[in-house]
Amino acid sequence: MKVAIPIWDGRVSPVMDTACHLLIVEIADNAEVSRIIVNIPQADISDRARFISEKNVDFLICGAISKQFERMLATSGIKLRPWFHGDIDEIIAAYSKGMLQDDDFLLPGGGRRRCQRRGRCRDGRRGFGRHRNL
Amino acid sequence: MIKDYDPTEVILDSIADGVFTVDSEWRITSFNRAAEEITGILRKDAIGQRCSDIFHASICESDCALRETFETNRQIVNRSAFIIDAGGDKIPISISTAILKDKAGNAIGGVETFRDLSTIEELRRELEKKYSFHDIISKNSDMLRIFDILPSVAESESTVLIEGETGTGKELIARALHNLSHRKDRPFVAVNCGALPDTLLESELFGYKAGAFTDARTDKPGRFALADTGTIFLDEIADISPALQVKLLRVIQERTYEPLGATESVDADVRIVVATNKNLDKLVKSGSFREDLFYRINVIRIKLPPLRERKEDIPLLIDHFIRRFSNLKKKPITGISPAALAVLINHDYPGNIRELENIIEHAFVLCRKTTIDTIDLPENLKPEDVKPLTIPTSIDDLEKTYILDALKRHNWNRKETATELGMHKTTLWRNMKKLGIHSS
Repeated sequence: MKVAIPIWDGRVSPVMDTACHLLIVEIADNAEVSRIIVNIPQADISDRARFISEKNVDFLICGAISKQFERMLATSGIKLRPWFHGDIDEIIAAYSKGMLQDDDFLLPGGGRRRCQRRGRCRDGRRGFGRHRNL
Repeated sequence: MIKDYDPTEVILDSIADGVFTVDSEWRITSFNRAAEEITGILRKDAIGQRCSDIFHASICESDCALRETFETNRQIVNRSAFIIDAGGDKIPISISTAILKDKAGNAIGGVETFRDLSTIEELRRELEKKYSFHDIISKNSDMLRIFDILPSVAESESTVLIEGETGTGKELIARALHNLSHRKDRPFVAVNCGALPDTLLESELFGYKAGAFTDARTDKPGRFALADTGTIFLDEIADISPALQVKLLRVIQERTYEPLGATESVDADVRIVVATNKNLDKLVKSGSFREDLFYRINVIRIKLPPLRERKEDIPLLIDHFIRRFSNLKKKPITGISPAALAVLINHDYPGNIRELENIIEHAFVLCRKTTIDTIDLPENLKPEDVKPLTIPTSIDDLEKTYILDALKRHNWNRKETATELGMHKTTLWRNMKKLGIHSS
């Protein structure tokens, strides 16, 4: 299985839409087999999606990502785990062992995104969902 | 119990711009209420985190404003970027940064303020929509008429001839026609017929079969094949040789062509759009362009006016290019001074919109402020090179200068000039005649 993670300074790149480098790791029998880093073309998101899909990546773990890019990657058949952050080696180690838990590596505020996508929070402010009442 | 309030926090929370501070390890140390609203992340979640994990800005990785401030010890003001908020929406922002220092003057971190430009962007887009059509920007009446007919022209399958000087946007019109047609999801292939020698152009257009000539080891599809079920745009059509004109005529008439070395014809299901910067009527009369081909391509004719005849578009186009280069070159340039705008409006633009674009790009390289001024313009446009104004010595001279200036301001539109000068257009015409002012 090929897993890709946009990489910056040994960590997950903060923004998938503008990430410059992609780490592609091949994993077999719960262990890392190989890894390479490729440059992501500095082009629009459709070209970037095409580039990633041409790498035959099965799974993409990334940081923040725009809705448009997320949709584009999904239609390219790439399984996506967005809104992650942290040290790349720790994430790969956890993923190889099947222990990539959302809570460990999810970006701050990441847990709110799922409820938020159903609509804006009740007071009309962007981004808080049910947590506004906290 | 009465809660103690930190006055700094109260002040920061009362302002509309997002503000956060970081320590030397890039960890967030404060995060105001507006920052919460814009990013969609709560202060309690943000404090102590790496700023890039909270801010998710397009410039975090390769062009961090705060990093640049630390490295150069200079403030950054109004750098354009976008952030991705907690809902996955792209929010356009402008960022300013500064270094935070302690009482002894030692750097202890940085402060970043950012402004949500969503509303401004929406308003700008609304305004732009009014004067733009598929990437073509204009409020000129001739151009608006073209915008008006383009959807109907696109729906038809007829061949279109686009005429216009170099740099007037012929390819943009061709692309708009393609994007408005039912072929929009199919390829759009542009060929500059003037850029290739005739022998190469034929194989480029129609392709060849293996063995057609010495180096033809494998079949190569031509541009007509690549544009199959889509649109082919043949620019500088006037430059093709008489021999190729015959072949093109056959494609347009019979919708078939033969690749070089092929024994069978290939069907061409392609919408053909052609363009030229030359006067095809004259070329037909002089015999250098086939009359029958001319009538075949001249089904629908679109004539694009040169920029000097649509000077009212210059401010719109300048705004458009400033925004584009501001994003591309990451420079916080937001406008142009009235003096520089006057210089650009008075220029004749033999290279049309492409020339204006190059002038703005030139200004972006030189400009060190947020507004482009005359000093940033290319040498040949600078006011000192413009002919000095002569001081009128008589009432007639004064009147002549007055009328000429008004005419230039209104692009020689006599009706608008007369309205501004408060006279009837017949009076204006009479005065022009008396003072020897000719519209040419």
